[in-house]
Amino acid sequence: MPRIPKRCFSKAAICRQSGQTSSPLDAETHDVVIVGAGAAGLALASALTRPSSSARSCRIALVEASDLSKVREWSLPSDQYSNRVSSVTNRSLSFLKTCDLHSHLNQTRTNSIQEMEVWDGVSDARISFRASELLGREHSTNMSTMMENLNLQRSLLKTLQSNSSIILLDKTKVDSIAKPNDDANSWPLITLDNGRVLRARLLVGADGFNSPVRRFAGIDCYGWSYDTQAVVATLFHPSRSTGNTTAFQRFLPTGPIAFLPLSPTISSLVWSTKPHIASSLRSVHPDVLSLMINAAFRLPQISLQYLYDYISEKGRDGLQVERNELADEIRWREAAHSIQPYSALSSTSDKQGDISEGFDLLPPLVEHIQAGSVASFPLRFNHAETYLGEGLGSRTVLVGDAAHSLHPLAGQGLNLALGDVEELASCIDDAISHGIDFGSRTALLPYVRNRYFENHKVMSAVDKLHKLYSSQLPPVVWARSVGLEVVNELDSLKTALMLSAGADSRTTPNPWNAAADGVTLVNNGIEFLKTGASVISGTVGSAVRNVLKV
Amino acid sequence: MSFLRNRNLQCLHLASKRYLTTQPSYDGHIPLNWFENAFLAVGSAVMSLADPRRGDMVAALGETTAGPALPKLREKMLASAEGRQVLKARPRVNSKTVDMVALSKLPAGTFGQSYFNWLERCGVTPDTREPVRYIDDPELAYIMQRYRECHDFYHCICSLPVNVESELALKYFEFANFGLPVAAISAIFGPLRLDSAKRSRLFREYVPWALKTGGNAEPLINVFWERRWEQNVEELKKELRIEDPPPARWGKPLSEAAREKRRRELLQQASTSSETP
Repeated sequence: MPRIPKRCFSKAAICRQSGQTSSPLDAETHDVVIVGAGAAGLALASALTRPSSSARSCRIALVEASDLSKVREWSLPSDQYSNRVSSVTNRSLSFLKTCDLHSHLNQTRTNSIQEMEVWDGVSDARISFRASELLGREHSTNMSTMMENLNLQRSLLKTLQSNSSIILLDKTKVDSIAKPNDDANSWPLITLDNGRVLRARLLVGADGFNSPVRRFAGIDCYGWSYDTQAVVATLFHPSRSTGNTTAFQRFLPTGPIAFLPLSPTISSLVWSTKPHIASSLRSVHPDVLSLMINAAFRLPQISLQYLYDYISEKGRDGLQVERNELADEIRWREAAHSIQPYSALSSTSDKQGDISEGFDLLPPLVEHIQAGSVASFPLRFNHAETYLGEGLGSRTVLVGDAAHSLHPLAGQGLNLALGDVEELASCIDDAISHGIDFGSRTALLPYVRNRYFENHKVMSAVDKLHKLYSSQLPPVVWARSVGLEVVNELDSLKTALMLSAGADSRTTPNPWNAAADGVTLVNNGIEFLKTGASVISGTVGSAVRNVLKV
Repeated sequence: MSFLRNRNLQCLHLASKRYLTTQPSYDGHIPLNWFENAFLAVGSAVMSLADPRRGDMVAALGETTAGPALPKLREKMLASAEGRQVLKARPRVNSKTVDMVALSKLPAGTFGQSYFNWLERCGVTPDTREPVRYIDDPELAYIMQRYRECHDFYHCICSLPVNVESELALKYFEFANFGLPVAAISAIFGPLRLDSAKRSRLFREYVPWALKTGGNAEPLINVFWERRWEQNVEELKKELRIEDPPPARWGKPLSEAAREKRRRELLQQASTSSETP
C-alpha cells in the first residue's frame, strides 16, 4: 500500500525534537510500556503476566492519566448499575479466564444473554437468535455475558496488583514520546509529566480514540463521525416469568435502540439516535424518558417522529414535558394505529404481568431510570491504517480503540479490543520463546496480519448495517426485510453468524447443515410460489366474477 | 406460504403493509391485496371516466391510487397544532354533526353562514359522501374521509359553484394543495368532457389560479373547519392565503347569495317554461 509517512513532529504536545529529550542514560528501561489502562491495556498487562506467558519475567509498565484507585475502589449497591456496560462474547470470556479474570470479577453483577431479538423498525421483519436451539445442548446456552465495564476493569486491575512485575503509573500523563537523536533503530523514550523517562522495547498504544501514541508513531487514520449520538441509561422494570436473558434491538431509521439485560429487574439502554433527538432525550425528566423508551420499542416510525418533535418543541419553548401529557399523546398515537390496550405493543395501559400475546418479543416496560445514569456520547467509525509504527515510529503497536472505533450496534468494540490483546500477547509469547526481539517488526507482523482484516470485516459489516437500516426507501426496506426473514429461516446460517460473532470459540459450522437447509428453503420456496399462484388465480377469478356482477 | 410467514408477526398482529391482512381494521374496511387493489384502480378509473356521476367509482379510484400521498398528509397534520386536533377528535361532516339551523342564524360574513348559503344555493347536502373502504391504516382512512367530507368547504372558501368547470378547477386546486393522485387524474381526464370554449376558459383562467392558489395556500387538510364557523370568511381566506378565483358563472359576491339564488330560480323557471310548450 503506497503511503506517504506523515510525521507528526509538528504536533508540539506529543513530540519534541530529540535535543530536548533527556539523555537516554537517565531512562528506566522496560520491555513493554503500555499507555492507557482501559480494558484493553489492563487485559494486555494481565495476559503478559499470566503464569503460562513466557513474557512474565519482562519488565512491564502501565501508564494511565487518571486515578486508578477510583476503578479499584469502584463499588455500587446491588440495586444500582453503571451505565457503561459491554457484551463479552464467550470467546473473549474464555481468553479473559486465562488471565485470571474470575478470581476478582463480581459474578453476581454479570448476566448471561441466551436469546436475541432484532427487528426492523419500519417493516417489523424480525430475526431471533436462541442459543439453546442453535448451538445445541452440548455447548453452553449463552451467547455472551453482559457486564459493567468497571466490573471488568476492576477485576483485571486487582489481578495485576497481586503481580509485582508490573509497574503501575497512574495519575501520570505522557508528556512526550521521541526517538533519541532521531534514530529510527533506537528504542522510543517516553517522558512522563513527573519527569520520569521510560525507554521501551515495545510501546503499546491502548490509549483510546485520541491516541497520542498513534500520533507519535505517525499512523494515519481513516474514518468519519456518524451523525449519531448514543444515549445510555440504567433501566428498572418488573421481572418476567421467563427471566431477563434476552437482548432486544430495534433498528429505527434514526439508529438502533438496544435493551441489554443486567439482572432480572435491571437492564441497560443504548439508544443511538440523531444528535438533536439525543439532546432532547437527555434534557427531559427521567420519567418522561422511560415513556419514550417504551414507545421507541413499540410505536411505528411516524408516531415516534411526532413524539421526538413533541419533546423537542417543548424544550425549545422552555417548557417541561409532563409525564401525563406525554402519556396522553402516546395513548392517542396507539389508538390511531389501532393498538389495543391489552396488546403487547401498548405501553400506556396498566396491565399487570406477562398476559399479552407475544410479550416475549418486546422488552419489559421500563418503570423508572436510575438517577444520574442518563448520558450520551458521539459515535464514530475510525480505523488506523496500520497497527505497527514504521521508521521513527517503530517499536510501537496499537490495540483496541486506539486502532479502531466502531458503531456499538453489534456490541463488538470491547470484543475486538480483547481479540487484539489476545493476538498481540501470543505474538510476544512466540517471539520470546523463539528468542526473537519482540519489539521488532518481524515479530509483530503476525499480529497485524491476523487482526487487521478480522477487525475491518466486523467494522465494515457493522457500518453497512447502520447505513442499510437508516433508509426508509420502500425498495430498500423491502429488500432488507426479505433478506432478514430468509436468514431467520436458515438455522445453520444463524448459527454461523452467532459463532463468527464469538458465541463459541471451539466449533465451526458444518457445511452439510447449510446444504440441507438450502434444499429445504428451495422446497419451501416452490411451495410458496405454488400457493401464491393459486391465490392470484383465485383473486383474478373473484375479481372477474365481481366485475360481471356489476 | 410458511416460507415467508413470521410467527412473531402473527403473534403481535402488527399492521404491516407488507403482509396480507384479512381482518378489517375499522368498520366498513375491505382489505385488498396488491392485485385486487391494482385491478380495482384500473376498473374504477374506466368506470369513472365513462360516468363521472358514479361517486362510488370515483371514491374507489381515489382510495386505490392514494399511494404515498396520504402518509405525507399525515406528516403535515402531525406537524400542525390544528391538524393534530383534527386527528385527535376525528370530526365527521354530515347533516347530523353539523347544526344547519345554528349556521343559518350566524351573522352575515361568517364562514358558517357562507357555508349554509352555499349549500342552499347549490342544492347539495353533505350527506352524499362515500365512506372509505379500501385504505388499510385506520388513521389514513380517516384522513381520506376528511378530505372527501371537506370538499364542500373548499368550494365555499374558493367561492366556486357546482358545475363541471368549477369542479375541475377545484380538482387542480386540490392536487396542488393535497397532492392526492385522484385529483390529478380527474384534472387530466375531466376536461375531455367539456366543449372547447369551456375547456379553453378552464385552462386560460381557472387552472393558473388553481395551481397558484392551491400551492401557496396553507394545507387545507389541517383546518378544523367546525371550529371556525364564527370566523369572518374574508379573514379566514386571508389566514389560509386563498385568493378569489376568476368570476364563476354566478359572478356575484357572497353577501348577495339569497337574491342570486332567487334570480337563478326565476331564470330556471322561465327557461323550463319556454322549453316545454
